Amino acid sequence: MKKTRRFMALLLTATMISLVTVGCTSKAPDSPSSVAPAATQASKGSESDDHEEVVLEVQIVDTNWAEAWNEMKATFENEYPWITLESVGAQQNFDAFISTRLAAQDLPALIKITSSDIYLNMVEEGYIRDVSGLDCVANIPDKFREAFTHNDIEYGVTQGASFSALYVNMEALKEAGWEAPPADWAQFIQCCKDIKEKTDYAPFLFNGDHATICYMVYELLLANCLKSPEEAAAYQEALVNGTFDFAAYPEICQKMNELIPYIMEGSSSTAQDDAVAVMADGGAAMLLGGNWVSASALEAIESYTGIEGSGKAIFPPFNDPGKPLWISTSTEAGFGLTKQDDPKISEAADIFFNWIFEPENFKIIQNARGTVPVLTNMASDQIVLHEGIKDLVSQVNNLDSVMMGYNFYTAEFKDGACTALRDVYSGNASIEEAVKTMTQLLSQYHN
Amino acid sequence: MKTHTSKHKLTWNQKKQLTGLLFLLPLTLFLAAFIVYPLVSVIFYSLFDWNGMSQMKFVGPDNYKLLPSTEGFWEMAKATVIYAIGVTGLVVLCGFLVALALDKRGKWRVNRTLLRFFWFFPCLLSGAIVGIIWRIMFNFNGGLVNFLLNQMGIKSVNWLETYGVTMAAIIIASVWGQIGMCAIIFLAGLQNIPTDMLEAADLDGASEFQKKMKIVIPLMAPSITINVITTSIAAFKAYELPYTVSKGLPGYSTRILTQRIYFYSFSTNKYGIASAMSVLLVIVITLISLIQLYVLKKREDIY
Amino acid sequence: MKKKTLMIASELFLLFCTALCWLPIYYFIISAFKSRKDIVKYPLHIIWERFTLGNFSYVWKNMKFAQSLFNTGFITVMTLILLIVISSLAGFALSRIKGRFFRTYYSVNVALMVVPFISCLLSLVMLSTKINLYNSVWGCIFIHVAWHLPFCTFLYSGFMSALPMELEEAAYIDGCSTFQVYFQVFLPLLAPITATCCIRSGITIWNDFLLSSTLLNSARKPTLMVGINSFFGEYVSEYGYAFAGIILASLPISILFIFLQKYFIKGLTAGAVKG
Repeated sequence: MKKTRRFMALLLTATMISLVTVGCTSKAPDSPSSVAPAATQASKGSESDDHEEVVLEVQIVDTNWAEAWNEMKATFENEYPWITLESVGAQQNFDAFISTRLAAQDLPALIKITSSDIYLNMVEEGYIRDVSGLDCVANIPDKFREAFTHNDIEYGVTQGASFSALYVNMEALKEAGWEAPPADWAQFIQCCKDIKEKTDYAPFLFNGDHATICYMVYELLLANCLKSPEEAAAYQEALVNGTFDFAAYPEICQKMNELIPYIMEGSSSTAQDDAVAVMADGGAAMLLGGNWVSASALEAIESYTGIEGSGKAIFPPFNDPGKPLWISTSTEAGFGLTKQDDPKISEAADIFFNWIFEPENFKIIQNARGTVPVLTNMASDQIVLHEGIKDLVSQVNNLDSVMMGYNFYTAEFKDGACTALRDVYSGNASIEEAVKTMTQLLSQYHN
Repeated sequence: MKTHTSKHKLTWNQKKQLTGLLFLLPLTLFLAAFIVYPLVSVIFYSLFDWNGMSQMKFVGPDNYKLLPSTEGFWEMAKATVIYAIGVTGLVVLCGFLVALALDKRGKWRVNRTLLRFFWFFPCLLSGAIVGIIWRIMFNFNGGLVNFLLNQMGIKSVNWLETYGVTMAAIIIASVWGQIGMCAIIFLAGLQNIPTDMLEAADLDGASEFQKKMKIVIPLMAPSITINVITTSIAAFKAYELPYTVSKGLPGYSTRILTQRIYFYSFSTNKYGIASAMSVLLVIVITLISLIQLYVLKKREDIY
Repeated sequence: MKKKTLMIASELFLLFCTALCWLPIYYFIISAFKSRKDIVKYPLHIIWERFTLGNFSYVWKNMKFAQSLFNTGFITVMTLILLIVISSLAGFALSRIKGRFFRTYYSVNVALMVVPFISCLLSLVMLSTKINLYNSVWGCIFIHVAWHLPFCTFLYSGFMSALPMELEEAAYIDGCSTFQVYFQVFLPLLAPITATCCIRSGITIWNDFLLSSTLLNSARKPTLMVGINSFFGEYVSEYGYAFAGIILASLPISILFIFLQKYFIKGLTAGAVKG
């Protein structure tokens, strides 16, 4: 027994000692970085002397541009040596992170913002500052500023614009006898049919694991049933007020039923990465997705076929023959400023916020994510987009569009509606039932 | 206390009792501050309508009345029960079999220490990680499980989108993640069985199966109790693992109640309903574990 | 002879099952050495020409791995020390001292095992801001201790109630106080069950994400699981980095398990399972 004790004690001490040594060595690589700003500060002399050091907590980084963040942080801290940036809350569910920070009454100075109910509540309760006074908003088109206005408070600035796109493997279409991608709904369905009959590809795939895309399939069908911009505006208003009746458009259900046999099995549980992988594997011929996936999706198609230009992005041709094409567009999640007790932090936050939206700096985020730019003062050589999608980006503003549903979701509606729709895509329920559920959910949970 | 001081001397037994109370003091402090206090505040919040920011509005038992009519409540309750029973049953059964296999030693056999580590390794990973790995494995297109099934000439199964099958999928993932711990506890129990008892049974000409039924299982009753209790409590409380595997789909068929509590408290910020659901869940698990403890203890006493 | 073939067959079957059980682990281990594109394209093969250690070096740099390791280790070790001291004291009281109060306390303790952590998380955050434990490792440690106490106390009291009565009787006759009995007679016997508690609670604390992500500022006090979770984003998941991170994070605890394994099993054997 004594031996046991001695062994345990030994082991425990060993762990402690090793942990402490690791801890001490870990401080070593850190210290230069904490010394560095001080050093530069000294060299810069008088201009930064009157600034006290400020630590700015920001919660804006997402995995898809995490690598670009390091570059951004370094550039900024070099320019403003008295401000240290700390990225927190990089995780899948950023709403949850904000909820816990709210409970602790310790919000980061900059946060990622969407128009879902939790942020609107925060605006109402005065947790978020109005950004309309900042210099950077002058370079944002009014359309996008309005999208982030609630109770006359402009609570954020968007990171980019997004739209729905269809990524087509042209080699697959050629195999099915199509030289050009389909241009309307009838052609689209015919094309799906040909692909299914003549080739090994699955016709149509989307990453339904993501709520926005899950709703997008339905939304595109709906958008193409609307006849005028006025009707689209009415639809958006009805969504906000919770009065929209999804069952009022039977032709959507009919089109959905036409589409369902061609949806690749597993679509509704496919994540974006997996969808791209399927394209890279030659599993499907057409992928519906947001524009933010363009670079990886088109590269995936080209890596499979080995032919440059074989991946092509088009607007989803869900319009009836002869009718104009409608798509869904949206602002992306934006950045917002929270109210801080310490005026120094607010001031630093303003500096950083304006700094992000300078074209020179914003392109870091922009190009890491591959989204459509919203800044009007951005030069074209600062924008890097995949060849296959450049055409579409220039046309987006000329098309009729509806707002992506995600701007109107409450968390409950999103959860319930996507649950119902996924059941439809996977063949577990009929679209008619789902439509009824969605109408009922919307009337119960709206903003 | 007065009576003691008047006597000026505590009896030996009273002294012992007092020391006992003193021993319990740190435990009591920690439990009171970090479990009982939050639990009481959860009960308190369950009587209010509150989103964490606005003024709290007293609504009395309304949150509880609202619960059954929230989306998919009964489906979720059913899923919770099926999941808990499935996981507990399979973990205990498989854990027992694995323990039996790992207990044998011999010249021709593989090193047991190594094998034990192999079986235990999944328990070293966090639930979320296990879930993420299995979600990739169960993918319909390009997932490993379907790949293996295809190699064996079986058609792909849509693991994540078929009612019933998805429940099986999350149970498989959970069982995989917990089997090691359970097996190790059984292994300990097995090593506790006196060898002379088994030898005597051998001399009587008992078959392997008879030995297991008549000697091993009764002697293992305490390990069975502890495994059943801990696994079932863990299954009722599980959140990350089933969520990361299936996201609660299809429909509400694999959404267990903790996921809904998470949803209400972190996605919709309806603390009132989240708290009411928590209180309900706590009551249910407490009842179930007390019943289990009672039944299993009784069975232990018989042997 | 027949017995021998049977044995070899059963052994092979066991090995087969073990291999099957390790398939997911094999998958994620080899994925850690592959680039992002190859992970999905060639799930089961290693392509030696494209074998890379890039994931590991990225994780080491960008997760602040050494610092995370230190924080996680500090939290785990401190929690375990407090946990063991408190629960062994309480376990002794609950198992070796007779009285109605102690029996009731035992049941309350068991009942507290069932409270789901997730439902109390927000209240705990509010509480910790009130008592100045927010944004401090000690807040994390205390909350971990509290939430692991019921189960460890349950194990300790189960273990100690299985020890024979004569042990303490002799000591009491010799004139020992209750504390001396605990310290001199029982404490030396507790090594096995302590190993059990260390492993069971240690794994959970080591793998904790929820508490450390809410209570600690991830830039100043990074922990392992928070770092690994940041590789899973809303749109894109960096599986390669995440898997490399998991391998690095589970190494220390695997080594600990291999060393403690013997005592761990002994702890359960010696009576813990009689709980």
